[in-house]
Amino acid sequence: MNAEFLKLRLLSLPRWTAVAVLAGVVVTGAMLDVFPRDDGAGFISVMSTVTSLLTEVAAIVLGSWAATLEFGSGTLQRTLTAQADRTRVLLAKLTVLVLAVAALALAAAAAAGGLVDVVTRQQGIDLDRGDLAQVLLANVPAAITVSVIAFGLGLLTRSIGGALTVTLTFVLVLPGILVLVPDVSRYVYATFEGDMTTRLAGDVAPGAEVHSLPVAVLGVLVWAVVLLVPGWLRFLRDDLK
Amino acid sequence: MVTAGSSAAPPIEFEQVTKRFGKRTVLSDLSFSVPEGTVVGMLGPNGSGKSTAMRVLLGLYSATSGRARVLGKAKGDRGFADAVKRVGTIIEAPPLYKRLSPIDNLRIRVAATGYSADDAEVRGLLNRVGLAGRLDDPVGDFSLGMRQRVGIALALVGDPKIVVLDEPTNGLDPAGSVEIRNLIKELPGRGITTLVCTHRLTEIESTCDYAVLMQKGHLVAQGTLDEIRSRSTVGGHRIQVAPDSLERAVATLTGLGLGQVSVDDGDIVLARTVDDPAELTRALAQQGIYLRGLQNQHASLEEAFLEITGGDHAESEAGS
Repeated sequence: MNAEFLKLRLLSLPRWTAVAVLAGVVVTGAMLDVFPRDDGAGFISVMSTVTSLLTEVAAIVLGSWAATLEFGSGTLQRTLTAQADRTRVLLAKLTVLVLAVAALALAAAAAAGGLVDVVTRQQGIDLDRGDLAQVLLANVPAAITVSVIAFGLGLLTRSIGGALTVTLTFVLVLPGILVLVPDVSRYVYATFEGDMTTRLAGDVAPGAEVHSLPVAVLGVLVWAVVLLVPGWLRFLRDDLK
Repeated sequence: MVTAGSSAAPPIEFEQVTKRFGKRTVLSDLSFSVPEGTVVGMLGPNGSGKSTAMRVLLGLYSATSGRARVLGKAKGDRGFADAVKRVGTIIEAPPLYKRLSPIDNLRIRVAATGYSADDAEVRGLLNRVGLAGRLDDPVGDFSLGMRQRVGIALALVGDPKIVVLDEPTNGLDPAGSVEIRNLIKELPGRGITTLVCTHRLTEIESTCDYAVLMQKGHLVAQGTLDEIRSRSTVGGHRIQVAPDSLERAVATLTGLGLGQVSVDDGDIVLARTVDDPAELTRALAQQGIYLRGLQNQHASLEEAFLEITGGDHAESEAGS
């Protein structure tokens, strides 16, 4: 696992991804300072939406990268001769990925919360800081899950471009289309993920049809496993260069 | 089978290994073993199955049938992963993170294997392969030859028991090739068993104790270099006698029924190798002809290779 941490620290993509997320949060904070909302909920809503989107996209990028790095750089041979147990290789990569995405999502939430706090104080707007923290932290599990899905699809496609395209389509594009088929859209990944985040944020609108938290979490986990396993098995079984 | 005096399991062993990709057979019933502390060359033209054999050995590919063992462990055996960790390897191109420096590439290797190698050791190794002064530059900026040096340093980092090098002097200039060959020749002294895969005959001749010749996935010959050379029909003797005795000497040798006898540049050339050359001197002396010189002619490894493989291409010049 130390080698995976070293790659994360030394290679440039994770660093730039983190910079992009934090820069996005800072820019949003600055925009809220210039164009303030009417109340605290408005600030929280804008910052939560932006942070959620940024961390999800970053999680997809990191998940795709973690799964496909060795295929792209031709370093699979050295990875698999340093550790020939392929399950251990994947577990190390996945563990480091989950920890990195969790750290990034928490850092983004902390930065977002701090900025909203500073801006609302400057604007003289009263803010429930408990609500702010709950809403921002509710995005963290979704970011982790989507990184695992990207990782699984990366193992399947073995190309960072392929993994990014398929995961973004699955997580962000497909749900928008399937809304047209309500009976189906209720069971797609994005619905479970959205409901999980909504429940964790304590932000369920009255009368809204939202899965309970256990059902939403179960739905997210089932989808993550379903999308992780084929690529995982392919990696374990195939001849690899 | 290539063997040594030790009775312990050989560090590298192929036992009837066959590898197919669909209907295409890339390795066919490959069997050989590499004795501990030797440098063995695996020689064959491009596409002969050398790299595939290495990948099967290291567990990157699964054998269709047969077993390839490293330090006595085959893929699927308990302890195989630990055995493979003791192998330093380059297969085809050096596997490098191109945006990172040589030192960071080696740090990742050390962390991945769990070897104990401190920064000083890593730097020392890079200096040894001729990379002093470029330790902190991204390897993506390096020439092919310099990347090859980083790859060799990667293969040697830690304490490998086996080193597998595929075309180790690929891209190196003549001086660099000599340096790397000298480095390879030092490995047995450190207790490292080395398998050098190449299509370059000079590589084998200058570094190896034994050779395994492959062609189209088959092992076609193996043994010491002398044993392989001896499989060639190229051989015989060159004999020098006084010019006024030349015709009588040719007649005498022809009369012995030893095959073709010819004259080349004043020398008598006997095409076939005679088991006991004293037989020749005796026969000539009985006719009052005394030798001025007698040389045994040997096939070069290149001649033997071409003869064994039926002319399949392998390169005799480094860098060609």
